[in-house]
Amino acid sequence: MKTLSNINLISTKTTPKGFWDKYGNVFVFISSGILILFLILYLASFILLSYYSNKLEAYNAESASLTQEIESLRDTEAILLTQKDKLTTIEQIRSGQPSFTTILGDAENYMTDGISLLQLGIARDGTLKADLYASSSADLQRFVDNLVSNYDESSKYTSFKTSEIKLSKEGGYDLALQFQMKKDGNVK
Amino acid sequence: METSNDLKNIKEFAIRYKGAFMSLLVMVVVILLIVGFLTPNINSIQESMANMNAQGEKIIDLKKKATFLSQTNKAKEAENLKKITTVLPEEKDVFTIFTGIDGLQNESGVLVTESDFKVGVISTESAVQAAGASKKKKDMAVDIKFEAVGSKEAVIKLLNLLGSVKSRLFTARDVNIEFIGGDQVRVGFILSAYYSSFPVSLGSIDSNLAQLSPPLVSLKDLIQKEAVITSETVHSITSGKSDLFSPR
Repeated sequence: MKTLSNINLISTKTTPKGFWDKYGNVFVFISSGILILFLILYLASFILLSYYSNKLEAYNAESASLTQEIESLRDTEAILLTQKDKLTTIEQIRSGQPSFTTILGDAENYMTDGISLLQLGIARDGTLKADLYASSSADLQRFVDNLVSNYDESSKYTSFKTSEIKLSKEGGYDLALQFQMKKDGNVK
Repeated sequence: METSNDLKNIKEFAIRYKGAFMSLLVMVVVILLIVGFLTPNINSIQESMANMNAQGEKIIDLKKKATFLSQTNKAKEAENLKKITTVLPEEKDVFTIFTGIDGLQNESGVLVTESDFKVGVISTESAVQAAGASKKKKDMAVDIKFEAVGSKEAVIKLLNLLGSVKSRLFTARDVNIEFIGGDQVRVGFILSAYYSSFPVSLGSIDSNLAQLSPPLVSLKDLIQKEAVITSETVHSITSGKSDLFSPR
């Protein structure tokens, strides 16, 4: 029991609390936490690394096995590759070819009564040259009128030109007509 | 006397703040361990994951390729290739040009009056690079000066047959159609007979096996249905022509 006689009233020697006194424990707490966290992370990284290494090894083995399997089927692959290569070339060649029968049909459709198509030349660049015979000047006039009236933006052919019109021995007119296939004129 | 006091003070200070010192030491060591061990591990994990993803994708492609190839009927595809090669042979193959022209004549009903080309010349003036074809390998054409006479229907049939895939692939250019009286038509053009070498290389094992586009599938079906393997036809050619290179 504390009595007045046994209470020590002499002040004890105290030192002022500095930075280390205040935050020493915090440092211990933080450093312990960091250490534990490091150990956990290191262990986790080690486990993950081992897992991925094993899995990668398995993948590599599977890849090698598949590679071997494909290697044994290289003949088939060569056949398919050659097929594709040749088919592509055939397709390219065929697609570059206009339909001459369509062009011939179109040229004949331009003919009006009294006009005969004597010759039709189809050049690689899409230029068409037609040699025509008109029985009379009236037929020739009708043909030209028909060409003009039927021409519009949607026509498959453009740039109609007549290089020469001359009187024929038969009494009619020989006409050389030149025109151009439009690039997007659907004559495939 | 002062030195011993200093030592005593340091010792007291060290004993008093040993916890703090140890903590700082541990922090420094942990930082060193993170830099020295944890970071390389994390880098290795990232690298492994990237490798695994790449390898995983590669395996998917390889599996697809292996499955597709193993399910492909090799004998049937080889037969298809023979037919495709009939349409577009690997070499100039003069005899299939003749049989092709004979076929055009017989089927259309025209009379071929001219079919001239320089035999034996492949890569000079009579051979031209096919338009738009690959530059890595040679796609060539033999040009033949061609002329035929027949009815208008026969000539139209002839022009339609050029793009067919029954035999050798032909195209025409610089076409000239002349109406020579009655129903008779004379047609002249440069007939090109194409040939194409086989692909230079197969590519790597893990390269994707490019699938045929729908137009190519249709073309393949058409060739499969229509083409007649000409090597058999070549054997059926009988002798007796006085001029081997004349069309008649």
